[in-house]
Amino acid sequence: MDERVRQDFTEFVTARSAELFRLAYVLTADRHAAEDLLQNTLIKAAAHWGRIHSSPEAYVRRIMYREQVSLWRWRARRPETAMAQVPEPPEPDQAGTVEARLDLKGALLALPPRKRAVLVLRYLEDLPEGQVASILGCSVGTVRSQTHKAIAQLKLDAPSLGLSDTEVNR
Amino acid sequence: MNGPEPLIADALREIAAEAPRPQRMADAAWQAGRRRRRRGLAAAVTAGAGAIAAVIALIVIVTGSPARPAGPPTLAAGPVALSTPIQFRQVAAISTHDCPVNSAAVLGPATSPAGSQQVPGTACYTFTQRGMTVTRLKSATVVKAGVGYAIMIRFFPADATRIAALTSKLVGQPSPHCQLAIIVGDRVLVAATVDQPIGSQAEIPGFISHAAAERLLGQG
Repeated sequence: MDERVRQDFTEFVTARSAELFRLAYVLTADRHAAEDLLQNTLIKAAAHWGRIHSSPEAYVRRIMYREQVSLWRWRARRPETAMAQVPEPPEPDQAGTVEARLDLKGALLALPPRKRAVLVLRYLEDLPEGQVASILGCSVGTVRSQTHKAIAQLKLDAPSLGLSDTEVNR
Repeated sequence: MNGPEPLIADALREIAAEAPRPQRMADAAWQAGRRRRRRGLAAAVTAGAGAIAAVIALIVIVTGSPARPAGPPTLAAGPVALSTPIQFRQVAAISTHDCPVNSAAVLGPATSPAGSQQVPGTACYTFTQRGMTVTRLKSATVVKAGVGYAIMIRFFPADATRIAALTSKLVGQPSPHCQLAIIVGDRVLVAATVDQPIGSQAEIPGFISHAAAERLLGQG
């Protein structure tokens, strides 16, 4: 029985680890931190794998988001957080557009983890506020305020993005 | 442009695409997870009322608790009766010409010469006698996969045995005989090289939208 569950877990990880790692990488903005996050997530998932009868993907992603938020809580008590470098720029096409996109990526990578997690859930996963709140274990009001503050921060850090005041202050 | 959301989503997708390949971690995570569970159980037993707590913990393990948090939108979490059967067949040949009328050939996506990457356009597939059809799934979940969507499927045990037997015969065969085509209706959804046998679950990629994946599962 245990061997069958183990095989199921191994197959899931083999099939989905690349995609889950991409999520961990967006959330942490650092290769090693992403590996740690994915590893810790999978360890927690493995502990209960026999009880997950369906939709393991949703279960694992939820663990990962919670793990990242709790990491953020832990890091918030520390004076400094190491920040990853902005990735190498791609081949330039139109100088202005590329610069604006790099600015935005840099600004996203510089956001505190919780704000970035909210943006990932809202805009990359395209989830409604209620579901974001449920996954992160906070209120809808917190999701709204974090989104608002995150976009305001992006606007400050990436002025070339051209986010309008009306959008940010809405 | 209606605000910053599309720009932010694009930038996040770009960051995700830059992620390197992760290390293999299934085995290590499994071992650590089991240790964690054993530690958790041991703590529960000592913290609880001795033998009674132990009995309760055992009951939980044996029966399996269905308590599971709700996650991002998924569907068809339980057994699925497919609206259209899914066929898994060994590829005999792939040609770039149109399929002959009244033949057993099936139209599908064109692939690169290596057979691993899809390229724009269509191709005509023919198959060997090796194949199987699945009409029911233990579970199916639509998940994001790169720019599109995929369906993570779990087979019932009988089908899992058949797919394992089928795919183990494809491993190491010369191209295109090493490719397994997934056919739904009159179309090859995807054909991929099998480098290790498929077991109880598989991922069917190649859906452009969540709705397209749902349609296969008869939920759209």
